[in-house]
Amino acid sequence: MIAPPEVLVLEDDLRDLHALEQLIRDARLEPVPASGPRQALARLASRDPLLAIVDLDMSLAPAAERRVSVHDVLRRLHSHHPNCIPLVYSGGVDTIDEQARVYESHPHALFQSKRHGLDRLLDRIEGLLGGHVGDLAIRRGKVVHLPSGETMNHRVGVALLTAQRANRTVLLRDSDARAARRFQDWLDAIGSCVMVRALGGRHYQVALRADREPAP
Amino acid sequence: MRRNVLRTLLVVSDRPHPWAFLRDRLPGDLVAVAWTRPGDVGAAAADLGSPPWMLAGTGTAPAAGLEALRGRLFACRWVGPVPPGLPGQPVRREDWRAVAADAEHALAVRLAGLRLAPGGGLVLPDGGFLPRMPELEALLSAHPDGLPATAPDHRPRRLAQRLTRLLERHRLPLAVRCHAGRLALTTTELDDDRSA
Repeated sequence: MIAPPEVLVLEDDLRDLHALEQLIRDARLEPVPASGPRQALARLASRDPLLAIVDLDMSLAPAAERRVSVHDVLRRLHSHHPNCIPLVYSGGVDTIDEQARVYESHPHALFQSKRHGLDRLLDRIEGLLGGHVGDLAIRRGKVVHLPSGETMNHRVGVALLTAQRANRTVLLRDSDARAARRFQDWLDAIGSCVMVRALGGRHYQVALRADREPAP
Repeated sequence: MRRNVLRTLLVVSDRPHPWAFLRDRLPGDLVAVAWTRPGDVGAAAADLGSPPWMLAGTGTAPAAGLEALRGRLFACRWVGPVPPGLPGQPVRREDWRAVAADAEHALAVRLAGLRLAPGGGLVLPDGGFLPRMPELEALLSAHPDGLPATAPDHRPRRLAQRLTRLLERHRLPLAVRCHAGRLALTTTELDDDRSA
């Protein structure tokens, strides 16, 4: 049994934090809640989330939590968790200057304005963690081959599909590189139109097999 | 620290607005848009790991810190007056819309069935995949004009030979020519026609 992918949630409003936790649990993913930046850094010492939902405004967090900032959390994600996709869910990302400040802490952060509400955030999370890549999708934390209904509980596969949805690559350790090959074997066995590509430097991505891509 | 292996357009500007404009306009699956202030450009270029696919900037301050990119192959666009010390020969553009149009065109180039793969690398006519090859990706995108080969020694000619051998190995009717200080990707059928 492989543990479901983890999602870090950094949110100082406890009501929103619990709502997000439930939303993530409903998607059969494992929430890693943090009500302040210090707690988030502590969680990251032992967890390796696939996605991080990060509120920029920590005004409701206790003073002790704010001895470190949200930008410290973003910098830690960038330096130590290369496969984690930060989704900054905040009222403070509506201007380019605000987005640029986040960019300087984590150049691959995605943005979702709080003004659009939790439903839009859910759509965004589903787009990242539940969207299709070719004939594959992630359902309840597993990779599903849609034509056959075959599933694979494959951590690296889930990370590769999620990264592709965010136009990112996945950086794998040597042991995980073997897992990527096993994932490719499974794709071959089920006749999927998706393949695993090695980009060099232990970076991987999934792509559609060109012979099965729609004509340009 | 994660080194970026994705094809990247590096924006050099004091303000982040050109970065946001290009990020929102260009296809994210084909190119990542990075941003740096002129004072930090050396560190940003080093962080990319390989040369940017395209460098685009604005401002008249001398571009310090780009020495590592000198002699490397990449397209360069500049909005407004070009400062001294930029590597390559930047193409001057009136505004960022023109830069975006150039980048869109460059990303869409298809020559003898060869095209840019999402993220990085090239898709071969038979559907095969050629892993990350920044020089060839830059030359394909710069077809037909090619790119200035600014290295003062024999490196451009040797690079052209190496890339042409690679293209031959994949049975592509393409070659890299070094002529008049520029490197360009050309079709060999056209060469054959001309020599006939």
